[in-house]
Amino acid sequence: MTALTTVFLKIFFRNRRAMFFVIFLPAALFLILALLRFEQVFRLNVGQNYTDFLLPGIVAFAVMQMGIYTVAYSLIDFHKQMVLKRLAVTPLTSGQFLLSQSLARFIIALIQTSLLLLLALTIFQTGFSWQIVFTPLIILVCTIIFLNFGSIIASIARDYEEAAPYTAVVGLSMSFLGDVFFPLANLPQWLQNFATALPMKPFVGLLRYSFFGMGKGQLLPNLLILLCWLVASTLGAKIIFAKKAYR
Amino acid sequence: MAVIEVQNLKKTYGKIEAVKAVSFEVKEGEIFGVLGPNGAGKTTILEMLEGLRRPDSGQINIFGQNLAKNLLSLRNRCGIVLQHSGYFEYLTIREALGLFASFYEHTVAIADLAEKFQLEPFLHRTYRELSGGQRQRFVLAAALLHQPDLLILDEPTIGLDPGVRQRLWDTLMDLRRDGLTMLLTTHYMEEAQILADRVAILDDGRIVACDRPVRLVNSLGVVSRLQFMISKPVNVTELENLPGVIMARRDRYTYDLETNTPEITLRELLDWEKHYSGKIFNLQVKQATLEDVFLKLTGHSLKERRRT
Repeated sequence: MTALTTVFLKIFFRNRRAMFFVIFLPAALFLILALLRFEQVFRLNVGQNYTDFLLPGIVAFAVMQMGIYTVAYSLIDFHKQMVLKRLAVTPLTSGQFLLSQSLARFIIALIQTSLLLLLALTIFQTGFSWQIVFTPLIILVCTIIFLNFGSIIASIARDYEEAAPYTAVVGLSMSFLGDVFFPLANLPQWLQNFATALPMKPFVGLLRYSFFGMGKGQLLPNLLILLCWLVASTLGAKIIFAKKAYR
Repeated sequence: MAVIEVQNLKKTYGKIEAVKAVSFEVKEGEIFGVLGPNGAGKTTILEMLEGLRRPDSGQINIFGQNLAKNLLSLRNRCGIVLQHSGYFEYLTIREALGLFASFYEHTVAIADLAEKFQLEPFLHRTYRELSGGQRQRFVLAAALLHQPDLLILDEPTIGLDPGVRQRLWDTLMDLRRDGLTMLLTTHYMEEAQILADRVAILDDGRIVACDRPVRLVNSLGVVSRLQFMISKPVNVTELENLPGVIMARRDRYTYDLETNTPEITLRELLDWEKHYSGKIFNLQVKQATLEDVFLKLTGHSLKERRRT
C-alpha cells in the first residue's frame, strides 16, 4: 500500500496540469480575492477582515476541488484505461486502493494548505492561534470525505460527459453553501440549515476554529456532522467503487 | 491432479445466456485452450475464473480450493494476462513492475525478470512508449513476477503481428517446459492447435467438444481440403460429382472440396477445368484443422458469430 501511495504521488507530481489546478490555482484565487478586499460588500464579524474570512474557505475549497474533480476524473481515466481491472486481479483490494488514494491526496492537501497559509502569513501578515495544530487532522477527515464523493461519482459515471453534471452539482453546492467566499448569514434560514447539514460548512467552521480559534460553540456539532459524513461516504464509496469500478 | 475444476458454470446478462452450464478441468502442467469465435463466452468464463465476475450458478475450484471463498489467497498463486489492460501513465516499466511486486508476498528480482523477458533496454520507458511486442513481454513479466503456479491468458496474441505472435508462442512453450500450468482463450485456430495440449471448443456459451487437438481433427474422418477460386462461377453440385469429393461448399468466391484422396481429386479437378470455360486460381491443398472441427460441430466458421 505504501508503494501504491508513492505511485499516486509520483503520478501527481509528474502531471503538470494536475499540479497547476490543485496547487497553484487555489493559491492564485486566494491572492486575487484577498486583494479585492470585500469587507465592504459582505457583512463580516466585527474586527474580521476578508482575508481571514476567505483563508479557511479557500483551504476547504481546494481540498473539496481535489477530492471531487481531480479524483473523479483520474479514476474515470484509470477505469477507461483498464488500470483498475489490472489491479483488481492482484491481491490488492478496492479498500486498500481507496486508502492509498486517500493517503496520497492527504499529503497533496497538506502541501496545498501549507502554501496557502504561507501566502497569508507572508503577504497579509495573518496571525494564527495555537489550535492550528489540529489542521492536519481536519484536512485528513475531509480529504477522505471528498475523495469518497469523487470515487462514487467515478463509479457511477462511465465517462467525463456523464461525470460533469454530478461534479457540477456537488462542487457548486459545496462552494456556494459552504461559507467559502461569502458569509451565509444573508441567506434564508432554511437554506442555512441545509448548508449546515452538508460537509463543507462544518469543514470551513472547523478550519476557522483551528486557524483563529473562532466558533468554539459550533465545534461539537461540526465534528459530529463530519464524522457522520465520513462513515456514510466511506461505506458508500467502498461498496459502489468495489461493485461498479474496481473490476 | 486438476489445477482448475469448473462445474456447471452459468452466467446471464439480462436475457442473454452468456455461459450455459460449462464444465471442464485443467490438469497440472498442461496448456488448456478455450477456442471460440468472438461472443462465444470465452472472456466471461475467464473473468469468472479471475474473480472479476460472480457466476449465477456453478462452482470453480482452483488448486482444490473454492475460488469465491479463497479469492485473495488464490490470487497469490495465479498470474493473469487480461485481453486489454492498462498501466499507470507517467510510470516507467521499472516502477510499474516494482508496484506490482509490492502486492505479492514473494517475487523474483525485477532485474532477473527484465533479463528473462528482454526488457532491460526499456525499463526507463513508460508503457505507452513500448511497441506491441515489448508491451506483451512486459504484460507477461508483470503477470509472472510472483512466480504463479497457474497462468491465465485471455486472447494473449490479439492484435499482434505474426512475428511477435510466434515469439510469444515460443515463450509460452518455454514456460510450459518449466512446469507452468496455463489456461488460454483464443479465437485463432492455429494458436490453439500449436500451443494447447487440450482444447475446449466453445460456441454460444457451450462447450461443444473438449479433447487433444489431434484427436479432435482425426474425429472428423476428413483429412484434406482443396480450396480455390474460379473466374466463372460454377454450381457446387457439379464439383461434388468429381471422384473422391465428400462435400463441396462455396463461401462467396472461394470453393472448398473435402476429400480423403487429395491427389485423385486434384487430378480430376484439373481435368475438369480443361473442359470448363472458367479458370481455377489460388488453388491450395489443406490438411483438416480445428477450424474444420469447429465448422462441423457448430455449422459456422470461427470468424463469424452465431446469428441469434
